[in-house]
Amino acid sequence: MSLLAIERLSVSFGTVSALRDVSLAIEPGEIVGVAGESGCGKSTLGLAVMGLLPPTARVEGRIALGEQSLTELRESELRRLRGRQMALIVQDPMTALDPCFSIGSQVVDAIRAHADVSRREASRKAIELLSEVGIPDAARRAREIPARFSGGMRQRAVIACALANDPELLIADEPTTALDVTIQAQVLALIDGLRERRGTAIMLISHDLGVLSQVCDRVAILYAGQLVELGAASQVLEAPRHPYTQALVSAVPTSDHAPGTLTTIGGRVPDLADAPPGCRFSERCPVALPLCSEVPRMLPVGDEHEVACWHVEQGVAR
Amino acid sequence: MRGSRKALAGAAILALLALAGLLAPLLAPHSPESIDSSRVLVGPDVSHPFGSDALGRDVLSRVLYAFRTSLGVALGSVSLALVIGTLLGLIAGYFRGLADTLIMRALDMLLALPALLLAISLIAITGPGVWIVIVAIALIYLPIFARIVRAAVVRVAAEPYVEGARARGASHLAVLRGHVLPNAFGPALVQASVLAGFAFQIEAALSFLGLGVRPPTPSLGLMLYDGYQVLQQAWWADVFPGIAIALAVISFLLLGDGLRARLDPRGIAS
Repeated sequence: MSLLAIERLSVSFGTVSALRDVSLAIEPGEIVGVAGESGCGKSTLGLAVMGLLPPTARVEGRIALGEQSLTELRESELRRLRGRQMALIVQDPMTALDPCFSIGSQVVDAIRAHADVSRREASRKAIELLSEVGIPDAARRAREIPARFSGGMRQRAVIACALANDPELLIADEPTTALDVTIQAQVLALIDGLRERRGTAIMLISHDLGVLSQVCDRVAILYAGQLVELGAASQVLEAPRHPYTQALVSAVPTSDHAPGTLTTIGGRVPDLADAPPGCRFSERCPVALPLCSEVPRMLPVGDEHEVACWHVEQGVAR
Repeated sequence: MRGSRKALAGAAILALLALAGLLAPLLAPHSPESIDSSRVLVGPDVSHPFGSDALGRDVLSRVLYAFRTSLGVALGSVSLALVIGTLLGLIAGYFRGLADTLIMRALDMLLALPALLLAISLIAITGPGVWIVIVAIALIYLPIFARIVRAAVVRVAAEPYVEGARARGASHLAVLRGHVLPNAFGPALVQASVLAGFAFQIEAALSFLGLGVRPPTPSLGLMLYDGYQVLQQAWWADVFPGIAIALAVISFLLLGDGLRARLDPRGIAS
């Protein structure tokens, strides 16, 4: 059974439809990347799983963690799961820690939010966690406030907070975006190591396909709140089948691009308050069909590779 | 740092004044209420360094006791307004929505009335007294504190570390106490110091109008009123309590200015 099962999830804020009919499962110990442009609903997806969407959000569909149906739990029951079975690494390590308190005491708070242990015991474990995520001289640095930590070190501390109660699922929302490239690689290696050592399943949200290709087993591509492609990272990123994924992959700048030849995707992301009724990419799609005004299904195009596109559907029918 | 030097100066003067007020029974050379008909309006001399007033009472002793009363009124009213205002501001700024609208619009109504008019109407209903003056000043200050705290809370509540704490399973109460209050409290504390200074003035004004502290309890405002009647013959009966008020106001303002540099760099409380 999947660790996390998202079934036909739709989230809307008033007239704005942020996610439509998204289904996605994550197995224990798996790293699944969620990619897409800004505003495509990546963060909304993470917050929906955590049950941390603002009260104005309307949520339909079902989210299950193990045997628990998260969408049916009350706030107090969800609160007991947050941090213990699922944890979230929020965007931007520079502001993800409370500037008022020492790094160590924030990890201690995270531990004591669920585990009934003494401060001394929690503080010992906090130092262990901080060393595990690669903070040198953790016992001394635990006493310092976040302002004395660099971006990479803060991100490590934020990850230590998320690991405090050894969650089965870790949702990392753009964990490397605010970091420079060498630190990015270190943090990715850290995340990969967590899965190895602890068997933590990870939903890695990022707009950076390069980052996803380095650590993900599978990748899900979101466009304007719709899941368009899902499959093994190598297949989706190297042999994409959806026109949007193809455009996204070819827009990634590489060193062998001739100068001045950056590829972009024509048109702009639709207004989510007035999105096209069918495939939301159809307005910008170079190969759109009249059929595209209806919602395409996710169809398998290979082992563990699904695409929602009418071209694929027609190809299968043929 | 200039900020900390100012704060230190303010705190030092304030500590001296407060100590003098607290130790009034030990420091005062005479009883503040003993009337001596042989010393009516006698100027400063060795036995009475600040002179004596129209009833022959020692001005120095009365200033010491009066300072104690006025300081109590200032601290009492500010604490009362700070505690209730902070609570209301926290609720309004964190939960927003209907609670926010109800709380802030109700406080806006208080804010719409001129401060002294509000105090005078309250005292007109209940009659004067130390406690009523404290409540009246607290009522004037309440919307100010609530608005400052709310503004800071709205900013803090949007910080990723608040979402992070929620994601670790912290309850709203734990987040409010553990993250929102510590990060949002600075501006209110700065304002508390500034408003404590002005509380001396409001207390003095109310007592001057006969609506504040009642005799025989000595207060700086009452002394100003008494001295004002005989100002042409005896400047000392008015000047010394006046200096005490000025010193208190200045030291609270210094302290507030100094704290602002440390606790409220964004200037929410200005």
